[in-house]
Amino acid sequence: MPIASMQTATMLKIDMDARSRTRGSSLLDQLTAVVVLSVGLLGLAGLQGRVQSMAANAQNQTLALTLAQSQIERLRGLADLPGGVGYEKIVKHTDTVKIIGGQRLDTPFSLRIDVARYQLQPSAQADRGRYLAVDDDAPLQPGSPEFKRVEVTLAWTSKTGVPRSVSLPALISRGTF
Amino acid sequence: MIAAKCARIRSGAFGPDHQRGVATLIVALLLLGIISAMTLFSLSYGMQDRRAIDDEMAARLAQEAAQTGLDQGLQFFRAHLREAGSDWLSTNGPKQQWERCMATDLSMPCGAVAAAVRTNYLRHPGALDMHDVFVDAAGAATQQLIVKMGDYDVRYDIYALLCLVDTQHPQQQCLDAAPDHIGPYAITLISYGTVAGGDKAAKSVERHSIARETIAPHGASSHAAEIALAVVPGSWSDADRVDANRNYVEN
Repeated sequence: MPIASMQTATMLKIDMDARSRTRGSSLLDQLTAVVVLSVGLLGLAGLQGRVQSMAANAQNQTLALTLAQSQIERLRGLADLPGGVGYEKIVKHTDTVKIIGGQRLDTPFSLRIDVARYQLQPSAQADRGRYLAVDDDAPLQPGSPEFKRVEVTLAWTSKTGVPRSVSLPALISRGTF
Repeated sequence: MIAAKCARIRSGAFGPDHQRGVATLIVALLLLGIISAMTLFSLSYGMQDRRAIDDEMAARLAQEAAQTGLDQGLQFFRAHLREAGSDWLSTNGPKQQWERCMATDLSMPCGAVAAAVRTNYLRHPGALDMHDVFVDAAGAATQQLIVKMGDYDVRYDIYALLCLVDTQHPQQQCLDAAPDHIGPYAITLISYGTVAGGDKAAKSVERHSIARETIAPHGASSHAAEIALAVVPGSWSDADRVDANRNYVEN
């Protein structure tokens, strides 16, 4: 074999050895990069999911408060009806809200209205008497002031399965006697 | 040419320090950095959004608190219907409650009235003390029937102004001197509502709101007890802004 050919063969061998070493290291580095990137992305995806869940919860909270306020306004409107007709209709009530303004909600809300009735009753401790809780079916006293303490609660389940609720209490005065 | 390439190999140009794998790692880390920055930005935006929603909720609950104050104030005066129009008015009497507003008095509730007509009104000094007619669920005397709204602590102070209606001079609206006995009258209730607290995970917030409405005897009857106080239609208004003396600032 001529000397030139032998020299070329040796150099090619060196070249191949160097390439094979480089290829092995590159694979390891790439695997490391993939692992680092995957762990990082998984963490960030989790964080992003949490942000989205927080935003969805805040949106539901705002919607629930709006619904609760509109319920209380409706009850105030009832209480203003003359002769106490509407006031008497303010009673404990439960319902499910699935549609608002013709639009179906992603998360249905369960609505609960709790009512406690208070009437001015004679009291040994107070000259003018005190407002004490009375039964729902107690008769209306023409000359005796009374009001109802209502609590509107809207409950829903978040996408992660956590039960959530918004409660809004209010005092509803009877419009006229 | 081959000799030159071999020389580069020997010098380490394709050695472990100059591999394509390192470049991949650097690019991956760079990508991770960029995505992290974007996620953090999104998180910060989400937190700001959440805080804005909490603020809005607190503001709306503060309005509800102020409204609750007005409702409780109405019930307070319904319970005190007789005294409010007689004993509380008797000048220098032991049960006198109403005092004439001074022209320079800017404190609540006199400060809520325009200076030109301020002295025509009588004020109930300080916030109404309602312990005598309201009791809590346990039967103990209480100032407030509602102390919590969700995660928020609620407080409301109710102030009252009395206007003895001047039937002789309607343009003056209220009498500038208290008569011995009450004639037609109207009471303006001013309720200052505060909510504090909120979602423990987010920053605690405190919001205030003020609402007012006028109540007056409704209808006429030969039986004093049946003359109920009712809200004068169109008298209700509210504001989110108050001055240092808790006086009403128009929205």
